Amino acid sequence: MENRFDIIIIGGGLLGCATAYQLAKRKAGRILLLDGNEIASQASARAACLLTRARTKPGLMEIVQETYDCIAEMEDLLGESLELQQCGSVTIASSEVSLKGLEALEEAATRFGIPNERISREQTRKLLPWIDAEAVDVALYMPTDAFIDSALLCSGYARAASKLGVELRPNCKVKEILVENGRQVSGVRLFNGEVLSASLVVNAAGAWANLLMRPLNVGLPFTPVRSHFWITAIDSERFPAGHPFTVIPDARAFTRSDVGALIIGLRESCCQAFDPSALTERLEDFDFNQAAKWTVLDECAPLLKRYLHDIDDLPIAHYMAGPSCYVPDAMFVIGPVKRYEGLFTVTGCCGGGVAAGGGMGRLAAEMITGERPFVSPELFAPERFGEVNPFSPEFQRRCADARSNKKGG
Amino acid sequence: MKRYIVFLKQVPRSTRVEIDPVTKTLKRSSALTQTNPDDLHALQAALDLRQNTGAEVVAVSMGPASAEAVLREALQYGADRAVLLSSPAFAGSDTWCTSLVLASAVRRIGDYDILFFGRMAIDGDTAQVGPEVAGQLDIPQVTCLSSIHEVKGNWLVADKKAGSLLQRVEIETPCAVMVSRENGELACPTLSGWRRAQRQEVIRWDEGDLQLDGKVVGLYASPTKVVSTDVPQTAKEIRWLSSGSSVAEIIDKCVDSLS
Ligand SMILES: Cc1cc2nc3c(=O)[nH]c(=O)nc-3n(C[C@H](O)[C@H](O)[C@H](O)COP(=O)(O)OP(=O)(O)OC[C@H]3O[C@@H](n4cnc5c(N)ncnc54)[C@H](O)[C@@H]3O)c2cc1C
Repeated sequence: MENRFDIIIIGGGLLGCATAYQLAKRKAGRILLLDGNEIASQASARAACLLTRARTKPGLMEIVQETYDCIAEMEDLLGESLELQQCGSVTIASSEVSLKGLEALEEAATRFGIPNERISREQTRKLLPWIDAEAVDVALYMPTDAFIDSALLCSGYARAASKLGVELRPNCKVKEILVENGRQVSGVRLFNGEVLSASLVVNAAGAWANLLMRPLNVGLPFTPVRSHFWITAIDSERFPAGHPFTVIPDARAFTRSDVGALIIGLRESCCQAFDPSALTERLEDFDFNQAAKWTVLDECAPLLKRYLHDIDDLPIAHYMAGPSCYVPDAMFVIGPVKRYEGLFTVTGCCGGGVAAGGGMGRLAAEMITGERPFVSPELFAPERFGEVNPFSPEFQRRCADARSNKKGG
Repeated sequence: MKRYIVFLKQVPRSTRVEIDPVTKTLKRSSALTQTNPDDLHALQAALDLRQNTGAEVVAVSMGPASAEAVLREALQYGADRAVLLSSPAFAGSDTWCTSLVLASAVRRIGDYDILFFGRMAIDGDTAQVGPEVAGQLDIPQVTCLSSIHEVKGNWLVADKKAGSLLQRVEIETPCAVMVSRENGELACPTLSGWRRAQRQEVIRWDEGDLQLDGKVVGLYASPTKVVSTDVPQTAKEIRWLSSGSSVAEIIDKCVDSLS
């Protein structure tokens, strides 16, 4: 009885914890969540924390809205604030291509009921004092966009799940997913030899998920791709807090002020994928290529300079790199792995697990409990690319390209 | 012109180590490296002083080819020149042999006023190399330097930590100082500094350039013999209370486990 569960979730990041919370809300049975490290300590502790609502791809606005709803719900349940900062966002266009993108975003937002308005140069100057408004042709302001501390959100899901009865076991690493008769999932074996039984296992092991799938001959269609951002030294006058974050597609960049510093996210033209088998147990020990801190900034600064003139001379206090799990079509990977009974996955965050985690968890929970899914599950089906080998460099390149070609924030 | 020489060491980023049960050597949990944090404070002290004195700042590191990264970082922060002391003959040097190599480099650079060292390296914790170099060169030294007050002619006025006391000392140059973290905040590097550093040359010297007999340095010449390496056994037990708990719950758990 002790070691028997209805559902075991592997991974205590945003996606595993949100799934645990959504399952617990639906009283899906006795649920155990395992993480090889501390909960909320890996990719989910490295995010830039943007919760961008407007999206042009199908299903995504519903998914992000669910995250916002979860935050409000969990604050009630936990009786504490999760410190959502509703600062708004401004998307900037200075070229024909980016103007087209902005129009599509505007149309999507309006259709979904997300407040948005085009703002004048003067308003842009006020809202974004660090950006040269002269370089901006069109600016779209969305006042209800927000950011949130991703680790706090993740631990919020975990604590809410625990309050609803989910058992959390940090620092418990899963060695393998167990299968009976070649088809039915029966539980997991830990590195300490312990066997835990469940007829349903959810693989939400983030960048490591394919390592657990490999012995089962399953390839999930994503690979870890480096995401990163830079944080300037504190200069509260120049980068006052409480202003909207800025998405600048023409510079493949975003900026967000926080505690008097500026966070600058940049996307290089050719993003770097990593072979999952090269990953270390903890991201602290993994080399995302230390030199990228400056080589990528060097590559991207000329584009951003138009908006942020002194980017070359801004004192850079911190650099943060981490893995985002990119899929060739830049859509998530959620659902049953058909080859086995009782094997599910919630992965392939495409750099959006903070904004999308609540909705991704909801879709997974609805499929597991047999409820009617709130968005079309086919869009996210793990098998939609047929058989893939996430350990092949060609496939990894396709995933990295999904990030390189990304348009939004 | 005055000349300051700053010594920087490349060290592992993580100090979490395990002992390989078979070879008894240290297993680094990661290949990630960094510049020894105290050495960056030494560099900052030299750069700050340069603002008043206009001295030339020369960065020096001894290590494998990869140690060039710490010198590029020093150039990015604003050092004028960088010298890498690298040779298979230097590998495995203990603090004594390291100080022989560094002192030879100082002689070769010549005409110096102040040698800046970090208080100690995080991977060895000996705090011996700086004082030994000062010994080799027969110059005065200040350990645990927490701030430089002023330069008066050939005299450096500085504060140093002595236990819980702060001592004001005057020391005649040429001298060596071992800078501690109390020296203050590091300036943040910039992209333009990085670009400048990429264009600068890092000079490489081996034992021939330093006119050193290769047999007096390196693992076998080192008087220190590491007999075994163990992670000290402590009776301390770590219990993680953070995961998935609110602060109030953590405090409750903490009180429970203490009572
Ligand atoms: C630099 C950066 C910036 C980002 N910015 C944003 C942003 O602004 N907005 C946004 O929406 N998203 C952003 N993201 C993406 C977001 O951080 C991720 O989508 C999210 O953290 C993914 O959560 P996860 O649960 O899949 O992964 P993780 O948080 O990595 O969780 C996976 C967990 O699985 C555990 N695990 C792995 N293997 C095992 C095993 N064998 N046994 C037990 N446990 C195991 C790991 O220890 C880990 O805790 C950013 C990401 C990065 C790197």
